[in-house]
Amino acid sequence: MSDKQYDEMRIQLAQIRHDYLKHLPEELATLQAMGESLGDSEYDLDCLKAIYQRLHKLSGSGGSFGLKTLSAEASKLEQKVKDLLSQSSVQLDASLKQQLILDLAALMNTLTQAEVPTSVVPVDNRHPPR
Amino acid sequence: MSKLQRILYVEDEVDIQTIAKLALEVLGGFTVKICSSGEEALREADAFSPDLLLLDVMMPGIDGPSTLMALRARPATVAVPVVFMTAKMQPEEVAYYKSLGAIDVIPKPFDPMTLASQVKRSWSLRNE
Repeated sequence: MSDKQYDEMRIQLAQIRHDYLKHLPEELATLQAMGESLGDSEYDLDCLKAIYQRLHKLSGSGGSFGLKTLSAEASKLEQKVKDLLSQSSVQLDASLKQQLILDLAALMNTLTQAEVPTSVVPVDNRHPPR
Repeated sequence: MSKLQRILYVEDEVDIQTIAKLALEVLGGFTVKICSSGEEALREADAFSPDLLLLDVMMPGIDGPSTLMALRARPATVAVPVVFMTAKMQPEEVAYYKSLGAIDVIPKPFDPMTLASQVKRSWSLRNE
């Protein structure tokens, strides 16, 4: 790899990564909303499958963009949802649903780490500095 | 076929398509065609005439293994080396991909700075 190729790659990669990070909070919010939309008494299989597929994508893309924590957490959650989907007949009780929502919300927290440029980290205004 | 130039990459995730195409073209110097599904790959493969097929495993519609089997049934792609790219890297999963005829499996998530080198390494395995 020549220096020129390397530099070109770094510049283009930085731009793509920046675009990815800009859209990431929206994707994570969508995932959380999908979790919240699941019914309390029975599985919404289509929704759960869609969550599973989005987590799978997030795990792969996040890792390739250097978001190792997000990728690892998405991967763990992907496995958890896969296990839920593999059960033949299980009701999604309130506590299970709540845990899933919390787990999905926790993905957003990984974005506050130093690996994400501050310009694309969603600002949390709920706890303003004193 | 001794030189790797044309790569057909089948992947449904747009962000991964973008980053892989960039890595393979800029750092590897390859000509890369992206297909977003197994169905699209089956439509495009003959005309593109790839030297190598890179296949995602988990895709909506026809998944990677099924895409491979369908491509293997066609004269134009029956002998084209195939590499899977997947996060599903348990030993039994890797053994399964290789039993289908894949020459190698590249783990996801991949590092864009080293992907082209990984693909070249996989390509070197094709006659083993």
